[in-house]
Amino acid sequence: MIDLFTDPLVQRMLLVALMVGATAPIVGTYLVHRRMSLLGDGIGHVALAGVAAGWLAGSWADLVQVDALAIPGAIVFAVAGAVVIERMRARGVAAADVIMAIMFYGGIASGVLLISAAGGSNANLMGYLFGSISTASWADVWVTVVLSAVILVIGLGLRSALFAVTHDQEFAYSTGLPVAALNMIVAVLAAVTVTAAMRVVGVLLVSGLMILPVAIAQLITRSFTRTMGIAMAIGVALCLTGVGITLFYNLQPGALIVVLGVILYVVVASGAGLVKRRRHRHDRELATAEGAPA
Amino acid sequence: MTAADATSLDHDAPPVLTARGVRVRLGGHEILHGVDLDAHPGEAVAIMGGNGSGKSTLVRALVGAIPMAAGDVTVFDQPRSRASARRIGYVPQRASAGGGVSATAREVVTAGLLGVGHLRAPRDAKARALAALDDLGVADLADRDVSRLSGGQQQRVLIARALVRDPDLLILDEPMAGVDVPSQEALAAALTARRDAGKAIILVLHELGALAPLVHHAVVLEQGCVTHVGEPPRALGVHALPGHDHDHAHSDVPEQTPSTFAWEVRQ
Repeated sequence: MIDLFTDPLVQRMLLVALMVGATAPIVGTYLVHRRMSLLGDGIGHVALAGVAAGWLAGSWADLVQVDALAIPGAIVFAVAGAVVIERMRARGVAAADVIMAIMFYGGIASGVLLISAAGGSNANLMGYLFGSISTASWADVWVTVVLSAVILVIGLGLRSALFAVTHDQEFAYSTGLPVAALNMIVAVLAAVTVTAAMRVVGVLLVSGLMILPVAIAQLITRSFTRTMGIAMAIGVALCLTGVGITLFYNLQPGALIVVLGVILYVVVASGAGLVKRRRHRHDRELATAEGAPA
Repeated sequence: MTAADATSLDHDAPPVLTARGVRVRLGGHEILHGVDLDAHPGEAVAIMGGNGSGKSTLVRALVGAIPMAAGDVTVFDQPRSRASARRIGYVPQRASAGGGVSATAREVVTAGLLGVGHLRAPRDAKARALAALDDLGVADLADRDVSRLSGGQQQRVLIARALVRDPDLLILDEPMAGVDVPSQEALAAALTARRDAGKAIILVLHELGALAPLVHHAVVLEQGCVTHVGEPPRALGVHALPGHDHDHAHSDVPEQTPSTFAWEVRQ
């Protein structure tokens, strides 16, 4: 067991899982609050096109490691996609769900097209679609550290202002807050989160890691700040548990993390419903007892 | 002499807000066709009119929430800017607030302390938010989820969010819509105290209702144009007062709606 934790690969996996688990729910909380839970999915699909574009660039440049530019490509495409989505949303060019749909189809189709142009196959995209944490190098860990630091510093440091903008945009305008810039920060942070989490859960499931912990936290607290804190703790717990289980069983970590999240949501939702019903019954019994003649 | 006259209204003082020729286009249609408005220290101005007259669009343009196609808005003798927003407290319609994650009343009110150069809440934010909630009589709701409060309680929280800024100009959009009678009275008292302290208030109102004693001055809009400026149309307010008997009181006075009232003013 001790040998297991001294293994550099296991250390890298757990380190990446810890950082991604803690940071993905930060942006997830803002997205759920702004009722744009699917933004992570939209950006994830665009990031996939970025992976393929990086692959294509790598093959054109005759790089020894053909996928060396895949992650930089994903970052560039994800940020550019986030900026385009936010500008279209802010200008009212199209409804948010229509913009998302265009990103979904456009991202996947361009990704498959570009990877085939690069001489690769759809199989090359699988690691990015569903995550490949077990192949994380120290370079990947450092990329994740930098991206996570950006999310932590901005996402937590600007929490008051980002809450104000996502809670009530009209009021935020009236206070003189830089609303457009703050909205853009949320979108770009979502892109950074997607690229950081892509290694763990893959672009198809990245949104699950951003949104599920927030949905679970919402069942147990009524405060925005506490929701974010609890969601971060749940994110860490899910990622470490998921990756930990895959050290002993041959299971796909990304899918396992998301399935564990769904199970936890169902368990907590059932528990919360039970507590609510009991409290209701207790209140009713109290009211009946008080109303009964002595 | 009405209650509204016995205040610190000072027409000689420079206006707190001056709007000239405000035009707003939304979705390719011009909603406001050149509206003028003034508000002085210690004055409560009601913007009235029927549904779709452009009342809310006007205040949203005044606070910068939507762009103006033309016109000038001067706040405290300076063209309106993000910096001048620090002296304005805005209470939008209740439906505009709220998101997918729950938030406590205290968190919502704390957002009122932000602005230009203040992207983070100050150290004493919690205490100030609690004091603002206390002024509106809802300090006990500080840690409750805002979305689960009654309409009146939510409105008090939103007004506390505007007042925590200690603004010199308070702008409220339909503050009495869907608000229970006790909350209406609490809101009227809070607003009267602000006005009497020399602050300016601009309110969008469908009808004067419980705020009739507060309002000095009304600007009536119809289809994006000003059709009346001056004495508030009090007959409308009386009809809207809580407990007013529509069937028997003033049975000799024909029923007026904001648009028929505006039409009569124009005649």
